[in-house]
Amino acid sequence: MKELGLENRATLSVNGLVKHFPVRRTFLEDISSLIRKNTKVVHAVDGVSFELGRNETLGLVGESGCGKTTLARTVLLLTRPTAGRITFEGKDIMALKDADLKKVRNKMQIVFQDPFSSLDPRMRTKDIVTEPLVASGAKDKNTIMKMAGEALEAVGLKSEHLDRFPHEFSGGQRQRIGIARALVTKPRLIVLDEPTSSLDASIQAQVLGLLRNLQDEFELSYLFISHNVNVVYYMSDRIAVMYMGKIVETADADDIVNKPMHLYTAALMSAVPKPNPKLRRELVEIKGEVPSPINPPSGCRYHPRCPRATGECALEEPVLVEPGRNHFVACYHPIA
Amino acid sequence: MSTDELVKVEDLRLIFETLYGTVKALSGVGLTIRKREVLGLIGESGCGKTVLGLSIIGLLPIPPGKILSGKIYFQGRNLLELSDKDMEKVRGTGITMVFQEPMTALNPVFTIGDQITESIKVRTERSPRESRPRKAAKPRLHSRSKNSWSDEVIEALKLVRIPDPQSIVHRYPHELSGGMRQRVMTAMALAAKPSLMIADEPTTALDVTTQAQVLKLMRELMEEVKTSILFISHDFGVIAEISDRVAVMYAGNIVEEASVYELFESPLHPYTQALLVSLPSIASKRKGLEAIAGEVPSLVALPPGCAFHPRCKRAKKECSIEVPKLVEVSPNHKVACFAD
Repeated sequence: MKELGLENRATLSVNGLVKHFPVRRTFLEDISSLIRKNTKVVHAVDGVSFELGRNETLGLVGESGCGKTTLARTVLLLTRPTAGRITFEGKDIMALKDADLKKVRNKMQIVFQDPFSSLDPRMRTKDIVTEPLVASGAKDKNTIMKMAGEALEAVGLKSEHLDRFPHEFSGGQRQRIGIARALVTKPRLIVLDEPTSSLDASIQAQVLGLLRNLQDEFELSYLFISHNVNVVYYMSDRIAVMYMGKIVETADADDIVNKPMHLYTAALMSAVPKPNPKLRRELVEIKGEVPSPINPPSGCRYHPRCPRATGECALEEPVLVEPGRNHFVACYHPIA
Repeated sequence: MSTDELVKVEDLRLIFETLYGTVKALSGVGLTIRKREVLGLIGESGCGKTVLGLSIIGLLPIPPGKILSGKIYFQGRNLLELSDKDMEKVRGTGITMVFQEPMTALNPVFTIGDQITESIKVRTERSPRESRPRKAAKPRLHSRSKNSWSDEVIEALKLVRIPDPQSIVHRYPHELSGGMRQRVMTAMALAAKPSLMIADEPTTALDVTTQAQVLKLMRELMEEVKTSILFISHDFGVIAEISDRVAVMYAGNIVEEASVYELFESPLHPYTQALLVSLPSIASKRKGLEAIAGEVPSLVALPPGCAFHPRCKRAKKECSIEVPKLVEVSPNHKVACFAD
């Protein structure tokens, strides 16, 4: 598969990443699949490659069940990939031993979607924020508290918040705590998995602004995941569109939004609600529904729903090609 | 009420007594829904938009809720003065509701056919206008035989463009996708051909492509069934797509009401203005967002005067003393604000 290119050395480089989950139903089915050796699997992520440069944001959009979150978790080795290669700052992290991996983990952090369930309700803010440092083996209490104080200050919380419990904070403040927890180990890469999806509009803007400022201040690389195309567009330098475990198109954010080449991207963009009634326009309707990820369609996974599908689409899977500069699309009949 | 008005809410004040204090859910709401329009009701979580919807259809539990004052006129009658029995007649025939989460709103142990049958049955048994003999109109509930679904059930499913309704009636909710379930909910709400359908965040749980389809469908059905829709949402994008007019709610009050074009073109209330520039959108250039400082006040401890004044850039002295009234500043554009 072709490298998705940036000239400078990438912070994160992912190659042919695959993550399949075995389907477990009944005991008998388990036995029979063992005998026949044809275990059913969910093709959550199926051969994804991308690169993420320093200080860059790659947005990942797609609808529920397309594999965005699995991809995020697999990139951080929170689940072990089935196949593929993940290189972080030049190191193949899948080959690392546990002790070395632990050091690398400090440099790659994650912020979760739901600030209500991702913070332990029985831990105080200071314990939540210092936990990554303690887990990575830091001993000196003064240093730990100093770093925690810095992280909290960076996200706009005050020292008086250190002794409070999560329930004493609003949703926006909790997400700030989640961000501080990710920042405290001074990471190079932060995976943001729907970080503002559970926040109200007026608070969302605050958190998005904060994330942008932090990126500039600490030269962070973001993998920004969301189903909300409006938010991803605002945050990202480049956007990758996922459909059924595959990246079908990658390009600069403006190109994805204004000049989509893949038919799925075009349909997705036309469906994004725009806060301007003058822009109500013809919806590119997608026929049918998303097929089961246990038995994905042959060839191009979008072909059963695609208006331009031809015979070859069902036979062979299109690979990502680069018809425009830095614009990659996996389609036999792209929109010119 | 003038002839093109369907619902008129006047000075509705509603509180909840809780352990933490008195929650002022609605503090003097005034709202008009016209005949055959989609009125978008937008606001952030906890601003009272769902409570307003529920009080119009009379589904709010009282107690703990308590209505302090106000009137809700629907087809000339004040709904708050109706007996429970009369209100039941309005509900499901005159006013229906579609809820946010189609998986929890549908009963998992009955087939789609059963559930639509039930909604039709409720209507035909209650509606005095129905002239058909009761025996014939009464569909079988929990029917086991395969082809006994009444035409009405199939019609209801066809109305919401569900492919192959003959087979869908035998399915259970878990066998359908989110978009399909929301179509079924809409079918149940519209089968009664109500004058008003209240849709409370009907597309929030759906993916964007499905959401766009459901929005388009609702818009078409409004014309076909000749109903009005009160469309509740927190998403300005969705509101811009579907509404004819929009009411903006903040901390238990309507702060602005205008036609959708006017509202997005020239918003007057500082809250509406601030929200609109705080939204990221693929339709605008990627410049910095202007966030609104501070947070939404708690309904237990509302600030005095205008609830928005602590976050408002244009707040004046009087804003913290008196609550501004919703007044018409230009034809079809109302705003509740002292600032010029």
